[in-house]
Amino acid sequence: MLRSAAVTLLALVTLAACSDDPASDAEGDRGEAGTLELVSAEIEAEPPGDVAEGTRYVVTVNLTPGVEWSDGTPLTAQDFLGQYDILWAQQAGLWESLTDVRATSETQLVFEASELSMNVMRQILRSNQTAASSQFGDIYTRLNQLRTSGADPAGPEVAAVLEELDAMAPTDPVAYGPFVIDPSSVTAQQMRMVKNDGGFNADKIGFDRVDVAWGQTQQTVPLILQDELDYTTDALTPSDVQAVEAKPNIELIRTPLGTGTGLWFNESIKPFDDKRFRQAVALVIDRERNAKVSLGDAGKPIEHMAGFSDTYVGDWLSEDVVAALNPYERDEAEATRLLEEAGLVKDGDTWTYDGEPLAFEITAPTDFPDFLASGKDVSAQLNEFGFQTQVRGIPAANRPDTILQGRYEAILDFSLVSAPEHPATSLDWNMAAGFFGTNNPESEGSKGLNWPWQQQAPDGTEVYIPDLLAEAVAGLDEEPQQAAVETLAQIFNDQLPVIPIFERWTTDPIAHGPRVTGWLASDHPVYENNQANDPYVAMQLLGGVLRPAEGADGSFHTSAAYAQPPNFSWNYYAGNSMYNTLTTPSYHATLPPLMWWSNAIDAWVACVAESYSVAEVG
Amino acid sequence: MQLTPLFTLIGRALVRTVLMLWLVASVTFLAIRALPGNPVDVWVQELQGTGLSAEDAREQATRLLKIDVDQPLWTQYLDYLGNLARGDLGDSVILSPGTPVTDMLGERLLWTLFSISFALVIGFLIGLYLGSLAAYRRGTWVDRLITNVSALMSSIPAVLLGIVLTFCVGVAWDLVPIQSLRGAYSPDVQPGFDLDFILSALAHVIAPGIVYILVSFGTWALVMRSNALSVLADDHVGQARARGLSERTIRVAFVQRNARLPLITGFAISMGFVVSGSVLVERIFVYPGVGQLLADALARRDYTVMQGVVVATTITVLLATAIADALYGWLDPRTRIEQHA
Repeated sequence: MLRSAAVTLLALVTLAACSDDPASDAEGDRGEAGTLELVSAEIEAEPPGDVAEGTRYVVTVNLTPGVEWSDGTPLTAQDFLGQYDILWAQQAGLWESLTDVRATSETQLVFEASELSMNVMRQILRSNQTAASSQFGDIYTRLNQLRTSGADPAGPEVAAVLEELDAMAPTDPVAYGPFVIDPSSVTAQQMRMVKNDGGFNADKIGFDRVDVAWGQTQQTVPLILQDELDYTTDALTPSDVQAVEAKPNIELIRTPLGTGTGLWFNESIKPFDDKRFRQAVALVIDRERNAKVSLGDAGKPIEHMAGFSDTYVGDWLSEDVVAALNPYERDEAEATRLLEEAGLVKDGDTWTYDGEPLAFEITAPTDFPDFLASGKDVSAQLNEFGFQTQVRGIPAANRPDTILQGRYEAILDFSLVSAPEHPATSLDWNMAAGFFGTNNPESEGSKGLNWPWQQQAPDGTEVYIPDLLAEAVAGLDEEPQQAAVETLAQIFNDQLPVIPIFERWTTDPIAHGPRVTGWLASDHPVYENNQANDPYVAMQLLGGVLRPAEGADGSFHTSAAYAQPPNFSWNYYAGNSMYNTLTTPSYHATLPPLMWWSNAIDAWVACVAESYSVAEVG
Repeated sequence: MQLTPLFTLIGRALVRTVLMLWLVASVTFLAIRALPGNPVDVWVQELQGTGLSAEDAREQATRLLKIDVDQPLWTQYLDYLGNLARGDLGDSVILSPGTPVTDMLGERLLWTLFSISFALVIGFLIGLYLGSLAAYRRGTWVDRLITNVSALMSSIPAVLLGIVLTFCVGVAWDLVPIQSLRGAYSPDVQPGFDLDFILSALAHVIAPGIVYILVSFGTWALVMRSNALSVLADDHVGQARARGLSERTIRVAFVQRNARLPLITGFAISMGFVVSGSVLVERIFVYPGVGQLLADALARRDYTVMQGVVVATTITVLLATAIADALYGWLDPRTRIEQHA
């Protein structure tokens, strides 16, 4: 509250200051936009040769030749193979799908897998960057020998190598991206990335350096307002947005983020277990008002109530299914009817259940300001309708325990999650055990949400939710997945195990000058990407789309709340690795991925790898 | 004073200090672990924010963190107390695994002492002066101005003042680059004992220093005014005036000296708390002090670092209190007489 008041006050001060600043108007020149073509990097697959036992798919990835690490050694397929051997040694879940990984040449990696899904493809092509063989080559080789000789990853030999890996303390960062961190520049307030001339696409990128200011919203908003940042992913509050938007050279990129809030009821408590009660609550909540109060224009009320982002609905649900979904538009009369059917009685202005006023607590994380605001507004709306609710704030760090143990009556938490980008990600979060043990109705211990997994599909057949969720993500072919997603969406819409409220859209500020120009126009398909998953700014920076403005000093300024010195290691694989604390675009500027996913063309596009293919065995 | 009572006094003080330390250390140990959300959970949430799926984030966090959050509480407690008895605050488990907490504290402590202690002393002296002035000018516009400004400044949270200062000076009035308000020294200066570095460090301490001074002087001024008014009403001040002593002598020798005595302990304790820094102010100005370290440790649930900061703060507060007691004896002869008696 204090911070909000302060920021509002300061936004007003700043607005006043900016409105009569003639220099700001001059900076409104947006320059000529660059170009970025989004093309699928998939190529025709060769028939697979000999493969490991159990292999059904072979994914071949071809690296862009000629890329060098900042220490002058070439980037090779062996570097990436080393990363996968480490993942094997660490018994990563990915190796439940992989049967082998090989480097067949300096620039070709071959992945053999028993099963493929979007999640596995994402792990192969996007998620796993690597560290240099010049630093970790010995470890890579020894683990590869252990894996290919059939060693047990849980055995003592592997554990000993992992111990060595953990203890390694390289003195300098080494990167294959166009920029590498200058270790002497890392201070509490800023770090500098300097050009790695042999790094990926270095010759196409006009900037000499990337300056990364330490901080989050509180520290970075003043920097944005003083033209000291060209881009940040920090979430701006509505009052921050007002202040930032007043600057003519700043453009806010507004794209769906795939996350958002929802109201959960602990169904171990009556009458929360009655779907009519939850449907009534959905009919009472004004989602538009709630979104506006919580996030201003960055909050978009959920329209379809399908259990996942509205942005996926067109691609995943047929028109008939969409038409059959209840949008739960505000309707107090219908809500009253449902509540009375569920056994609630209105006594004067107060709803009662079993003779007692219906009173409950709505738990909300205090350090997610939009969630807290949303919770308070939901509480106010329900109280206006005749419930007796109050908000209890908890630190966000307490969410896992609170959710897992079902220590809430109602809780304001996520109803949308999007990594990986698939409707099943949110559906799993809302309906199944999710990650924090969201819903565990069959557990002997804590049941969390306690919404039953035995449900009835719209056609009357009995379905088991975990099985349907597994069907929804099986394989790479979306058609069979779609049937499962449609069934799940309809069950969700009827049952409302969680009541979705709004989806968060980004308000990422990009600065047209004084340092950077060439930003793609806001209607470019790259902005259909999810900022958190396949960030559109990193794609523009690494693609050479962005360029230094005329007369600028050749630097690109961004921010990250990186590990403060001396609390970090240059060991890429260490728990306190500096790289773990970087965000986009700084992380990708130094360690770019093999590929990016493009939502606009539904395909993987080239980055450090120039192409890939998928072959089915047999 | 005979030696035996002296040893008894010292012995009692030592026992009291050790008990206090044990109590604070134990309560801290339990309170930190009572916080829901362990380091693994916190890390998982952060990793999810970078685009990893929930399962992948959990897997990566478990893989990277070497902490055993399921170790029995008793085992952790006994290890902790054993280490503490040897003067070992343990090693960081999350922020910098394996690094001794004392090293981490040492690195940050200098900056915190540099930024806060001078500001506290200046704020204290300004408060004493303004409080005395308000008391002498009781009922005049000077009194009303000092009292109201002091009350206002002491009620503004430091964090709010920090934000306002940053925005006004850096953004609205555009007087200085925001970068010059961030950190302990400029990014283009290398740490070392040379003029560039010293000037840069001094320039960077101005903003947090001003905040500390502005939020601290008001309280001292109000307390000093109240004490001075009380002393001014004492009989001995009236007698001094009747004896024809000059107003200046009365102010210095009678009023100020007696009025500031009760403030000494408060000031000493506030100096003791310097160790924990000002978490929020250091955060705003990205100042690499102990407060930032504590904030990072809290956010990442680095149990040993959190414990270390609290224990170090307790030790310095106890030390500061002991120093205040000694100073009290020196400043107030009556306490010396009571001790001798």
